[in-house]
Amino acid sequence: MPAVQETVEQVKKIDVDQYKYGFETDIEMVKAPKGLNEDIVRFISEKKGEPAWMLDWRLDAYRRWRAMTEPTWAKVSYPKIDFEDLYYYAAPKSTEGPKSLDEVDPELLRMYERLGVPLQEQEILAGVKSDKPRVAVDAVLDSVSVVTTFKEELAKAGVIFCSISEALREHPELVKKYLGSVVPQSDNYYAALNSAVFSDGSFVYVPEGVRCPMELSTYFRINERETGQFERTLIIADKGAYVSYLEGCTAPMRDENQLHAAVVELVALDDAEIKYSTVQNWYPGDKNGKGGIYNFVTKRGDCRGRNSKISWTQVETGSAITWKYPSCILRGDNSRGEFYSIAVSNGYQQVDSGTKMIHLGKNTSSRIISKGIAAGFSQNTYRGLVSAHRKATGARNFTACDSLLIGDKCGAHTVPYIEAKNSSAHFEHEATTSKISDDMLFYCQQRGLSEEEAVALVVNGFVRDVLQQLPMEFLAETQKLIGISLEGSVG
Amino acid sequence: MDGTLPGTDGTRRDMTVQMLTTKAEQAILKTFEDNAARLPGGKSVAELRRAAIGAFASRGLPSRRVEEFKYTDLKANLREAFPLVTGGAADADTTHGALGSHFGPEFAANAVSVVDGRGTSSGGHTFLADSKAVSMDWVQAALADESLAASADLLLNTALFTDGAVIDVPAGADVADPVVIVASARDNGLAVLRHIIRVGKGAKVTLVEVERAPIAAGLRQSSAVTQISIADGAEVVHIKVVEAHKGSTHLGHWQVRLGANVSYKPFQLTLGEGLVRNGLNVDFTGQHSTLDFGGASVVHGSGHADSTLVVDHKVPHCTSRELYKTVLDGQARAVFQGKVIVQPGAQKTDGKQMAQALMLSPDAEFDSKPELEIYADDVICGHGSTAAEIDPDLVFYCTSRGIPTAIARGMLIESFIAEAIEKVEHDGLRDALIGIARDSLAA
Amino acid sequence: MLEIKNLHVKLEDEDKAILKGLTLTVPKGEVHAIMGPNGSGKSTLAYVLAGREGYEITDGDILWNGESIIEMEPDERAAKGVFLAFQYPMEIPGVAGLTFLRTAANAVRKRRDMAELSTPEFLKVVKEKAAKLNIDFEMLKRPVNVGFSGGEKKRSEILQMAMLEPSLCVLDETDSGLDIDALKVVSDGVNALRSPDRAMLVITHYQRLLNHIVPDKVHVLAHGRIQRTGGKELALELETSGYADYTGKAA
Repeated sequence: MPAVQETVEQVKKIDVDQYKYGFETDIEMVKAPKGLNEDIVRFISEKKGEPAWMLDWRLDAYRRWRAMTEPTWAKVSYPKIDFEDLYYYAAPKSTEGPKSLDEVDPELLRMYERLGVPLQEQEILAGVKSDKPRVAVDAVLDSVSVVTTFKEELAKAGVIFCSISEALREHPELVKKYLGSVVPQSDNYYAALNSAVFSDGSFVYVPEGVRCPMELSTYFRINERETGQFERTLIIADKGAYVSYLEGCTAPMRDENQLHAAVVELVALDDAEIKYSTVQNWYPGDKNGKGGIYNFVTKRGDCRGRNSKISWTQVETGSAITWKYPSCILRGDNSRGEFYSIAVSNGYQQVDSGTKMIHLGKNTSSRIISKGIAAGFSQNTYRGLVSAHRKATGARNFTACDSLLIGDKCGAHTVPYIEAKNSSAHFEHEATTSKISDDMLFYCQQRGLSEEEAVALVVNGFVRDVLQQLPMEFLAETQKLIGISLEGSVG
Repeated sequence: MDGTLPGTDGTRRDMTVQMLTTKAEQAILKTFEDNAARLPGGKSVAELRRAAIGAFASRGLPSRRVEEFKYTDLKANLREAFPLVTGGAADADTTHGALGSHFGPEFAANAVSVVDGRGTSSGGHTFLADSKAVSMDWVQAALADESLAASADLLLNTALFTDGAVIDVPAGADVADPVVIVASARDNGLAVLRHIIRVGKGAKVTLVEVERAPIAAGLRQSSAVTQISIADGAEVVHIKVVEAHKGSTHLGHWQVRLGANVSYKPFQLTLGEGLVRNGLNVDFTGQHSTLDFGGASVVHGSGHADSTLVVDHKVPHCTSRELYKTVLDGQARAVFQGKVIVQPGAQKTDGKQMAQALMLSPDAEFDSKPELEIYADDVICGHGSTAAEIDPDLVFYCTSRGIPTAIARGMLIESFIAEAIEKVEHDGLRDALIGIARDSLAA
Repeated sequence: MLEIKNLHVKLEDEDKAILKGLTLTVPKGEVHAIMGPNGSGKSTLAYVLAGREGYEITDGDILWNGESIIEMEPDERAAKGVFLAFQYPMEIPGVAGLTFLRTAANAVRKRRDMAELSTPEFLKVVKEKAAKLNIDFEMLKRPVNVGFSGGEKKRSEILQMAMLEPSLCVLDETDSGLDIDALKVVSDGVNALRSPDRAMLVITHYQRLLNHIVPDKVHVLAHGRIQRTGGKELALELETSGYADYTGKAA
């Protein structure tokens, strides 16, 4: 029970506001003027020194976005966003030059240290901390990638891991081939916006037959005020390749709501496997629901090849509003998609999240395990689609969505769409909603646990199936995070 | 391609551009203008009708962009609207014919018969077209229920209903024989009925609604809305059988309000190759009440059967159970949408739901959307949904015992659907329903 | 007489062979036991005898009373007298046990050119046989095996066996999940069906069942073939020495 103990310790240490990543860092920034128009799109593209086709692609997306309206079907409510009152580009001045670890602004390094992000390539390479697992990190601050570690070592294995801006310069043919091939420019309102103005993000290419030698990770940080973050991530696992990737996100505590509209595209070719994990801890707003990130994200994986596999694991504890549905298009025969999710909401957070499993190929399978925990005044919705098309014979799905309510002022909702369009599909869906049973709490308390400890114990048990999917390196940290997110929810 | 899929497609549902009025919509609007002066009800009802047709005109028939009709696109599927039937040239003795052979004569004997959109006077039953009946306070109150303005299919019913049963079960009454409402109509007509039922405190009654067209019948369209208010302590069994043939359409809806300590057991059986939508809204307004729903459908050919339930737990300590089973053949499609809402404060709610499809043909389709919307923490709610072929292991087990494959499959299919029908406790009714389902399975 | 000749079997969708040249003969009136370690192909043999889909016979043959049965459907085999008592009997929701028994018994009788049992006759026979197996008659009104305990399921299998009057009984791990009392009831049921006209093949991992159903011969199955054949004392030997001698490299 050490993890539980730690959770409890951690919770006790924190006073009123439990968000520990809420500090601001003073870094000199370069910004585009406020508002969005074609000139801003041109500005961003020019800043990044992009080829002409990329600018055209962005402008096309921008025009499509102009013709679209914001989606309203999700179970979230918020005042209308003024898209003209945002900065669409903000970059630390110091990053305009070349980027290697020793050239990075020390203030930035200190910030990442405070965030607990391992940007210490040298030490690890020198074997000083050889007991720690090695993780290559791409650090994205506001609109740009400030540093990517372990690039050379990965390159030896043939793996390309860099910012998407760099990929556009160094590997334009790969970007051109795959960008927008999973999430088209006009897929939805926020994807179109992202396509027009995305400023950075990570790019991964794992060549045929290569098993990526270490965990890859991107750490996203919003720092500037009134700035939207629009990152774009593209991961390609070529035939027989394997890669495990993790993203983390934090932002300062502010009274304003900030927009984060990312797009993530994954492509798995024949026999390839991509494991994508997210620990989302954007600032959720204060206890009265003021401030926090609007997290409107489109994530989709394309199991394009035979026997390919894409697995999404997400732990969502942050953001004022979350709107995201990491999905799998199971196009290749025998391909497999997985979605494991823990969504914790407290305070006035609103979560509308889930997945889509689109079975197109033959004998495809998918598995969805979703655990929602609602506390405080929050609303927590699972929304998912499982669909087997006419020709997707032998499609299999198992879905289990469980919700736990803590307190009587919150809401937990389940909205699954299940579409079996051929008889050989075999779909099973189950969902439950309950509270932590008084009997269970009593039992724990009778055995000497405090109520808070008992809740932490039960919650950790509730999310266990999903936690086990996370890379080992992040397990303990995540367990603590869940405990912290629920702080103040009992009693 | 995936951008057009439901739920996460950010754009499509927001396009508010109204499509052009369809032929069917135009016909419905014209039908109203042609018949408005002759439709029953006083001034207040006429106003309700006028408001309803106005709302209908602005919304049109629901298309798949309307979430509740996502899988049953009436705008696309209803190509034309037949002329409204307002009584007159009905075939003689349609009641027994419409009931079919499985219901014994005891069910026909005292049936409330509605032929061609008009109640038949034999039997001394009360009908909505009677000026005295329609002006009763409780009937007026029911007609004015605003929840019926929620969707276009219900607006259509309000605008056009020509008649329907009015049943008032007094407090404490124990009605021994099932009350059977049989609706039948001529071919190529649109029949629009509204039944209004009130069950008094502690009363016990079994209600049965039957709408079946004989095999040889031509095309029919019908809309039937039943409003039922059940007072404290009453026990109500409510059964519906709809059989619609190819090209025919039935739009049914039950709007149910439960008081405290009520036991309400609805069961709906849908058969055939037509387009059938059965809506059921149940509002719990008193504590310690129980809803026990059963639904079964056997759909053939290009048939489409939609069961859409909204169960609203507004108060604590109530229980809801739903079991829906469908057997699909040919290119048949079944839709199950079941939403369970637990309102703030509705603690100790116990809600469970299961929807299961047995797909007999490669081209069959089952769309299921079981939904939970929960705002109270001390609850136990859950749902399940499955879609599959006949389990080959079960077939093997049966055949290894010497049972030929065809018989084994038949046995497994019938037992699948019978599990839902078994919920009906009345022996005669259950046998009749199983008989009807068996005929349909054999068809 | 059951004759299994050089039987080679693999799964339809996999290339891995499970039975690799199994040869075995069980004359009428005899009870043979097949013992073997996990994964040796015991259950595959049971399923292939009964004709379950998903297996491919790549070589060899199975003869029952001199006639090859490998092309026959499961129900044809049942009519010919083949009965498999499942290791994991299926639950059939919604189908009452009595309905199932009667449908099966009459389907088999019809194919054997025997008169179908009338309802009173059928009920009389079932009641009698159920009582012998300690099966509560009320239980048979419930759906087949649904909610039954492990022991109840196995007794229900033996009741089906008794009702269908097979000439070849294949018992797949009938002792699994049984406590000692249930084991006795089931064994007595099986022993009551021993007859000069009947061949029995008892498949088991453990020797204890063979204390109750004493076999005429014991065969050891490993690596898809019969590795050794002996009398009932072979089972006792295996009980002390285990299967270690057979789980190594293929012989």
